[in-house]
Amino acid sequence: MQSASQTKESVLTLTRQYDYPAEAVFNAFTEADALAEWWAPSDMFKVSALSLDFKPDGLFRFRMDTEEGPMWAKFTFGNIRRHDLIEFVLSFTDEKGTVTRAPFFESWPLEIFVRVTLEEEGGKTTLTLESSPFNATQQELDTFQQNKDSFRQGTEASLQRLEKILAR
Amino acid sequence: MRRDVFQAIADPTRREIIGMLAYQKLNLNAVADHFSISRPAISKHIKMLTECGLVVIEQQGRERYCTASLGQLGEVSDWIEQYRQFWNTRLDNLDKYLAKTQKQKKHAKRKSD
Repeated sequence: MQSASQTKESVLTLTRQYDYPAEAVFNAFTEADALAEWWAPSDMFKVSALSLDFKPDGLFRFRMDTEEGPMWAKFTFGNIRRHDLIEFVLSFTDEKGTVTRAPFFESWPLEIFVRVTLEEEGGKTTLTLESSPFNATQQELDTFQQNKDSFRQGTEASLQRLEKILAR
Repeated sequence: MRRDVFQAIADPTRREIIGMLAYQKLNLNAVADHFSISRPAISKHIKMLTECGLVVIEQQGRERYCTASLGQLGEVSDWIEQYRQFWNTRLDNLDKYLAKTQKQKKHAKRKSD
């Protein structure tokens, strides 16, 4: 996860207080059935969990049945700290889980980074949700940069070896 | 490659550049001086912003000036509004879900007491 570069002021921040302990709020994100239940915006709209692997880089895949047809989406989890932090990237996908543009939404980012933090005080929990479009392009760039660096290191190592051989 | 306005704002540095240019026209050096990251990295961000149509570069004599072209950001503010509703609905649902499950839990606990 390149969450470090997402730490500056997010595009959307929401805060809610729940009359329940942080553990209960946290657990609503860790169980497939729980997620499927509260993720559905109304009864018109059914959400079915397909798979859940609640750990960094793990996926929550789900299907939404709407009047306009089925949609698929997934969470790719990032940093997780029990009872106070959950990060994930939200993406619409096709049936196979490949990231796609959001169906039925004209203007929607390809992927969205979400960070949920929980703070409990006196049995009540304040949930803060920070979210921004996720920078897949930057990630691609970073991967490229890393590869480039390792390529350079590889080249330097070969040159040093060559020098040693020549110095004999 | 598809470029959209969301890619432009996906990066915190680019959001900051847009913020700076929203108030004033600045030359490339002035933008770069504001950040600790390298000049080529800033150039890359500005290039992306121009490709997304959010920043326009004008040559004035020997200087290159950047101005923000914020019309496109309307798409972003529409999305933020939609997205705020999207999460508000879900956070309300989460409250209902917790009310239901925590109540059940309490009942179960009471029964077992």
